[in-house]
Amino acid sequence: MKKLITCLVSSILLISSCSDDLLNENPPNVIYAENLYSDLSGLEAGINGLYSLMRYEREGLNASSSLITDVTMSGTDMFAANHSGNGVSRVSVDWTARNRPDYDVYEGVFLWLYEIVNSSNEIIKNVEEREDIDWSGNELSETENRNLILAEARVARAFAYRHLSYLWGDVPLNLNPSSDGIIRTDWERTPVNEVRQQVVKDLLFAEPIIPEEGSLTGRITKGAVQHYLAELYLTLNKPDSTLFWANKVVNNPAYALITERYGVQVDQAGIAFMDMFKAGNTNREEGNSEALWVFQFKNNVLGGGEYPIMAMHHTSRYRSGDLDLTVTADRGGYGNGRSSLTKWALDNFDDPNDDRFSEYAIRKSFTYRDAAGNAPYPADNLPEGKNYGDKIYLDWSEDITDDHNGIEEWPFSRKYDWADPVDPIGNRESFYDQIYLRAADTYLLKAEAEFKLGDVGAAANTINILRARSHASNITVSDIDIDFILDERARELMAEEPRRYTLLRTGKWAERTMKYNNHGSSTIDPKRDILLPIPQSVIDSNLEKEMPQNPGF
Amino acid sequence: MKGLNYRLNTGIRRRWSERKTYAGSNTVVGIANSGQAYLSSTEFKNNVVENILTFNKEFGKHNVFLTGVYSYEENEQYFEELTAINFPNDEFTYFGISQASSIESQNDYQRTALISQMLRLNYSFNNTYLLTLTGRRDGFSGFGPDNKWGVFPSVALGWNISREPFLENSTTINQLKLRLSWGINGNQAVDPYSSITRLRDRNTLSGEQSLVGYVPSVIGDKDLGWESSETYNLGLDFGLFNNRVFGDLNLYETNTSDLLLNRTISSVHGINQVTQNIGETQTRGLELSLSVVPWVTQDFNWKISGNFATNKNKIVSLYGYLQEDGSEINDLANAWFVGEPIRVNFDQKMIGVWQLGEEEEAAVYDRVPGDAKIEDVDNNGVLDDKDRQIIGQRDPKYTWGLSNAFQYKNFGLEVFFIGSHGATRHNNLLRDNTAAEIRRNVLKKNWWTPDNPTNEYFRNNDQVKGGSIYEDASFVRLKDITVSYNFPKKVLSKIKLEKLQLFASGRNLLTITDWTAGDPELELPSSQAGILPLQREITFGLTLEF
Repeated sequence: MKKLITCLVSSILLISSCSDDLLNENPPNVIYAENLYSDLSGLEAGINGLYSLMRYEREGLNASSSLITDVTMSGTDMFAANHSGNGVSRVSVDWTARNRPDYDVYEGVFLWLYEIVNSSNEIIKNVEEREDIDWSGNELSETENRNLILAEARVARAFAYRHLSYLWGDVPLNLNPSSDGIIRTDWERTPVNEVRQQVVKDLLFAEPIIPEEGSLTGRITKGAVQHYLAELYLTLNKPDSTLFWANKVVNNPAYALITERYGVQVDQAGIAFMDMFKAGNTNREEGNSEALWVFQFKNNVLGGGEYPIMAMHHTSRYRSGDLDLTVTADRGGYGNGRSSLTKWALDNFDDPNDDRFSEYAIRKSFTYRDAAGNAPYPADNLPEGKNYGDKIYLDWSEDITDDHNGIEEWPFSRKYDWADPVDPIGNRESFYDQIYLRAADTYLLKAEAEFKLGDVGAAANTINILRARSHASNITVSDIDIDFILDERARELMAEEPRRYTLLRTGKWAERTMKYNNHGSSTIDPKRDILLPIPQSVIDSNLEKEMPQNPGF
Repeated sequence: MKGLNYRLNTGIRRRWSERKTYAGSNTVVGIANSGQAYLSSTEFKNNVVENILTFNKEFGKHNVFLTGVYSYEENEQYFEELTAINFPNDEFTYFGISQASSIESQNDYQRTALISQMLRLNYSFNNTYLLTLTGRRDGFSGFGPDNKWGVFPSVALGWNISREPFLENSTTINQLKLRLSWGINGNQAVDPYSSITRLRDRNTLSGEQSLVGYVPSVIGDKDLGWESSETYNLGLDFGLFNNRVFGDLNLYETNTSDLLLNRTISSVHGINQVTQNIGETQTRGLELSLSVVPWVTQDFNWKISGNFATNKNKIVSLYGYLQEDGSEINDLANAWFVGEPIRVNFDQKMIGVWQLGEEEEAAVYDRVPGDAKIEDVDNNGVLDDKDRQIIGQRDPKYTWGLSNAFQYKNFGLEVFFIGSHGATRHNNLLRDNTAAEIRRNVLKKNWWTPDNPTNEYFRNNDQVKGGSIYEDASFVRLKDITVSYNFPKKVLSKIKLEKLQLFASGRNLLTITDWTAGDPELELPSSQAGILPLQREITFGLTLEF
């Protein structure tokens, strides 16, 4: 107030210098880049922001309607749309009509990935160009702190450009933060190989720095960085490099496959293969040596996540329709079944003893249970003529097709079985830590590289390690071809791998999707639909330079 | 000194608002969350200081009036909220917050400051020739550091023609005044901190430990500054035939530059919107208000008053990027086109429905009879973004109001119409997503069927390839009508009343429009949920005065 009076008096005397003070904006509640990135804890907060953004892949883009990761999984040989509701899987119902530049989910996914790019660029630029950052803190040296921040930020940038390159092909390679306020209207699409070279560069920078166990629970591990290098080199057709990086993971005892029962449900009937997917078992600290990257979720706590709906999208709607069963944790929680396994994905198992096809891994039947059986959830409603203890076998003999879909009694993967212990219907999201990447995927990259290098025997051996763990019979050299490797990936990584990327990498997406997915795949244009259309707003806002659309759109 | 006057106006306003709610197990929200408490408090502070110095002096027929103003206005807002869920029971409602297992809180703060300096000279000669000169300088906190201040001069000239000797005694022309003005106005309608590049929360988790995180969220334009409008105005005030006809007419042209706009930018920036000073627009308009008393007798009185406004606005320039032919590049992402109105619809245009017999033509566009027929603007056999076109402007081209008041003895009747013409809007309620959402109310449609070969609406089928439907949102509305009866004085004096009136009035009783999605007077929100139309009101009343 005193200042105000002084100002007023002086202003009457027409000295207006102090009025500028009153007009300055110094909001106490606003975070600026210059302040935040000036010391280690601020930069750590920046890295946390990046992990929060990356985790978003397993959340709903528009609250609960569009699971982002479905962009990488649905509309493939493994997943068909099985629900008329919104969501990315609906694109695969009619590629011609729905794979369109004005589809708002594409706008959202594109923006999300570039938000990661921009957030990473901001950190990288500050770290590389500023001299005044206070690097002290924790038990690491200042150089180690600096390198770790830089490595985490570059990994996030690689994460985003990896997605962008698979989804859209050539995309603008932007390595500068937008905070300089320069609005560009002349973006150019960088050839996809150049984009991937940048991903390689970022990963190679990070690989020696990122710790084997990750710098914190839930952060990326060195093994995951090595895995992505292996994957990228396959895409870049350098299988020898893939072999080099895949071996770093496969031969590292820290990333050993889970072959023995462990953890929270060890005293219940089950299989080793499925133990790692149980809440309480998923993290490396909890015994999951196979995990390379585990996304962290927790309900009702700060930073716990918004809409983790991986389960909701893929778990069938057994809670309604003819089944009308009580929602429980062991049944997979609340399911919407928007995207379901294709008949092929279920028939793909070549050995009935394969653990990965057992009832523990794939829900193929239900039992009517009373309150004690369902505890702590209520008893099932019994239809006429049924008794508690009666079994219902799900029938997938007729595939999901254009005329036969929205099926509630459909088998589903149990890798995401989880329900809110208090209110499984009110709280439909899955708030527990979920595996995002594990070493079995690296084994399969290794097998693919070995196959490409002509060492079919080695490929069979690598695959047999995974099969043996799940008690599936050994295969021989004569079984192996690229389709067999893709089949094996489908058995092992069902509902885990970004199947679309795998199929695009091997040039098999259109062929296998049209062959094995019977819902809408006849509308696929193999030349057009291997890429998504660049979002219309991105083309429209590029005023000074025409941004070419992907062919066919 | 005589004529010199100083006034200090100060104002301190405070407003507090608090909300405390608890949703228990007898509510949907309460069940889903095992009880939910919500507490919030908001504090608004508004401080104003105005120093006003005036000087008034007459020299013969000359009158001089000088005004100087220095003012400061500050607005602050504090906001805090707290949401708690998972209560052991409903016993203590929100007082049991310490027992809730999950509590989330948020707060916010905003401040804006505006400093204004103004000097004004009013000069008149014989009350016939008038001159006003104004210079003002305003500073607003929300702009970039080098652009906080704007200078806004204006000049106004007036000529009271009816005071000239040749009209002084005219009974035909009672009042006639010509006005001419030029001036620049500033506009500071932006959110505070718009010029500051900043970050937002994006928190995460590691095991049990919450981790605070931030990511960039706003690209601040350091050069953000005043939007300014230069206006020329020609006005005429008139009163004719013993003031039986009176009104005013204004013609204006406004050229606005550096408009404060939220602009959609390429998502490649990682952020897809920025607030900037953009472009230049021109608005030319005419406003007329007119009152006429066509009939006055002892018992009967009729008065008509009306107003009419029309304007034409267009974008003159955007960012200055030129095409090869020298014309400016339009901004499709924001639907801004040079030479067109500021707010237009930009979309593919549905021109009918594919009919039976047109299978072959429809197949070119991968459509079948019953699907929407979309205009293929570039005639290349493909429907894509190049086929979008401007489908009318979103603001009306002209609006008017007309009131007729009749008085016959003790009866009164007042009828007031309003009208708005020339706006085209997207009809959200004609769009439905039968496959996904059947839980919302939409309009009844004239579906195409093989037996009903309409061009109005496509077929009812979840495989349909439809189109967006735009409608003329023009309307004429009977806004108010009032019938009244005043009891005669004779009667009133007996019961010692000053006034006793009975009346009945109706509001929004009649609307004539082609717009089918609800109320044309309201603009539809972009969501499909629709909004409540303005209600039709009928009031019966009694007015008593003692």
